[in-house]
Amino acid sequence: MIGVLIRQDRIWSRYVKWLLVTLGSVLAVCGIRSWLYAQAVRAGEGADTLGPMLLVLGVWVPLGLFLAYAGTLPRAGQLALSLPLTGRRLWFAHLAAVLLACTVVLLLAGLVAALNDLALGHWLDHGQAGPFTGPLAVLPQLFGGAALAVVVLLSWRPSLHRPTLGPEYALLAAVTLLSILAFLLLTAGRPAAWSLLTLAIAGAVTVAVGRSLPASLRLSANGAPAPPGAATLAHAAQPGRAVRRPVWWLLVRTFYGDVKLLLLLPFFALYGLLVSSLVAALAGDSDAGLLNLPLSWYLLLSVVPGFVRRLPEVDSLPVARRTLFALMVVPAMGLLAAGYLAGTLAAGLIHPDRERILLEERDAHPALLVPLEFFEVAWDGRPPALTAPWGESHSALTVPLSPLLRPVLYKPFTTPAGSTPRYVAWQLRRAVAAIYGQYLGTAEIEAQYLVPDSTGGVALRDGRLPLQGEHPGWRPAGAGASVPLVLVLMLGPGLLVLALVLSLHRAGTSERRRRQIMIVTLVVIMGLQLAQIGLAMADLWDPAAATAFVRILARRLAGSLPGGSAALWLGAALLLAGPFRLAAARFRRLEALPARDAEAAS
Amino acid sequence: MRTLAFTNVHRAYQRGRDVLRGVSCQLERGEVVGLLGRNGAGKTTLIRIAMGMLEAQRGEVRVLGWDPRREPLAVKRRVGYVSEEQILPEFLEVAEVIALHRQLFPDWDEALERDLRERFGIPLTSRIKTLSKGQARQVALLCAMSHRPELLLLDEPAGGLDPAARREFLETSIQLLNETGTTILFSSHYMTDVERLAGRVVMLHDGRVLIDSELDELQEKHALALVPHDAGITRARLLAVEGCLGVRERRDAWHAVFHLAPAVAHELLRAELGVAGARCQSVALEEMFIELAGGQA
Repeated sequence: MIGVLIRQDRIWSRYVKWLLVTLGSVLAVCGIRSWLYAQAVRAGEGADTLGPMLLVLGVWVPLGLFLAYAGTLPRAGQLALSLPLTGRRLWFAHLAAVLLACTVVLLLAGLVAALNDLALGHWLDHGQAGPFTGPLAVLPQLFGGAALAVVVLLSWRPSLHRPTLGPEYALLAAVTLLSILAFLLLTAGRPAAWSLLTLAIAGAVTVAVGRSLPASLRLSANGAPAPPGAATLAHAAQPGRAVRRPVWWLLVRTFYGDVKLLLLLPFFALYGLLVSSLVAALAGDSDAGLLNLPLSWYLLLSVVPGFVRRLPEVDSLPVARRTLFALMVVPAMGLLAAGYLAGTLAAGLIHPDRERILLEERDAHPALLVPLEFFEVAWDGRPPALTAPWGESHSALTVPLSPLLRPVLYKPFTTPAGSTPRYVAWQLRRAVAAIYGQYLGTAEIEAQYLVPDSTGGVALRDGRLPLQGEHPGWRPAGAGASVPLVLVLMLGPGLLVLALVLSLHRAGTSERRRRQIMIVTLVVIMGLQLAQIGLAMADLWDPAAATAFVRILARRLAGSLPGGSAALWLGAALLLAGPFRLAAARFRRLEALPARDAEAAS
Repeated sequence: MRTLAFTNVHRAYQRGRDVLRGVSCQLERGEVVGLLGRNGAGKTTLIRIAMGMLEAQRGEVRVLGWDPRREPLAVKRRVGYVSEEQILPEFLEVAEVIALHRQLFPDWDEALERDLRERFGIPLTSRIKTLSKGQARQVALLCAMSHRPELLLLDEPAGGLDPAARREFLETSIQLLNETGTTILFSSHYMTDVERLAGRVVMLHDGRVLIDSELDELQEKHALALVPHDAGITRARLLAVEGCLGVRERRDAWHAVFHLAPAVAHELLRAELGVAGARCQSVALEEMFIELAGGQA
């Protein structure tokens, strides 16, 4: 009997989609782990210190969303309520179904991560001892965390056949999932025995809830009539009690009163942070945030089902479709953009006095190091010779975006072996002018910072180049120029895909076909995301160079357009307006049927 | 100007499975029309097309002279709609739902709103999702009526209500508004409601309009002929007779509905098919619905 109850549980209705999203997220994380590990190995380090945390994040973010969704599902259908089954049995069957669903997700995630490590030839070193090593080490903790989250979320009004949802549930879900995430991040990479703690708490909560369950589950209060009475008539007799809330607020309440949709919103801001350079700034690594752009396109799509489900509630009212469209996408777009802007600002605040220009001894010559975003683009793959006014000329260092593409990035401030002190000073002067927009004379640089060494080369006077320290007011020029361009890349394609998906909500397209196309869209977007990682692992694509490429283009555009950054922002707004209008036009013709009718029509 | 006009309207949800296959009918100002048809006949689809919530794939729809898909706001401001489903925003309180409507409809009649609130005793502070089906329907009706719409579209508005609530509901909506010249189109499975309230009926069957007639004329100009099987007549021969709308096979006789007066139908059967033993009689609306809707191939 319990097997039948588990099999018919509502958790399985959209399970494949969740499974795909979680596995996609794990694959993305595996790619980033491998890439970081490869970089660490190149730098002479062997340990993958970030790996466990990344795995926890990559699994927990989609799994947490899945668990929050699972907590909103009915514990039993009305048919099951009418059968001679105890409330405890129904509740435990639902708990078992959700736990089973989580376990399958975790096992597949572990398998994917393990295969990734095996493909690399060995476990990435997480530094654990014991029976679980490599990516498998975080699985017990994740299972313990998931079990605890499931039990807590299912304990919300456990005696009802389906939980009543509202802000209280949203708060419970957010606090539970974030607390467990914090615990998992703290214990990631530590012995698996830590999972016993969460499992013990989950067990205790299960026993307590199991004892409190009534003989049979009750129908939730959602369907119960409110008792008509004196209060009712008193309200009806008070014309002055008229509610005066603005239409837009009532519409927001109509759509975002749905907890499922509300729970989704924080992830937009979080994802915006992920696209920004914050992660790179925290890790002290190259910025490859734009690697995550494709998933931001999918995020915009994720609001559509919940919104369309609510649309019949206002479809008969004289509210313009463009208003409703704006209500659907503007919060999502705004949160994505706000997350990105906040991340970019925060990244700028981390180590504000970090030196952007370094002069280091590399292979017995002084190498001038600047961030990739201050390189230039050679579209034909052949960077120009870097010739000083007195005729000294050297080739530029190049960084290919991909061996399959012609354009390359080159460092216009290259100081290769054989550079004279005067040439190094000249390049340093150019780098200061390009990066900070400041002028330092060549002679001044030579006198202040450089000394000839015994071999006829050049060395730093005090062993370091304290430009930022000596000039605390200096800030990199054009640092924010790439923001409008990234926003276009983050939102524009997403709006185009949104337009495609909205055009499916029309006559002649069945619900089944819509779901198929949504899944294909998801697979294509995931494919784009994963292809970048796969190509990066095969050294066919450099995400950091690609991110820098976008920033260089933006800086160049801002420099060449009349109006500078303002013109770039205006251009970005115009570029976004096209896809926005297209998606809005598709939304205008969208047909939304009440859920029961939509199923019947398909 | 006609209040509502459908001209050759087609609509399918899936390719090759048409729900409406060339529906044409018009409603004049002040008419009360009952829309009949079996489950899946296309009543709800037709009403939603009039609301602009669905698109007609072929044909033309005009509501108060406007195309509801091109001018949705102009149409929706003048139309009231009650769905068979509960489609009010379930997270809002009743007072908030009313406030939302009050602000969206420029012609909102606060006196009528107050009158209906008092009549229904609606609990203003309750959330929509906590209301019973009947209470939610009353709120929907209040919202659909209080802006005194020029056209009221009611899709199975009284389905699931007890007889007393149903009568109160329909009489409130239909009589109150019709007195002021509102045109009303309502779909229903209750023939007694249709006979009591509608002046005209439109019956949909198989995606087409099978009957479009004033209720008074319906009984005068339609006949049910009971043709015994031993007369040796086939269904095809009966259907070929002029004015035959449908034939249903019963155990002892064919039941054929004619768009003719009983005496005329009797004479025609005798003259064309040589059937002398057929019994022709006028037919009540419910009987006609069963004979036609149940008897179509």
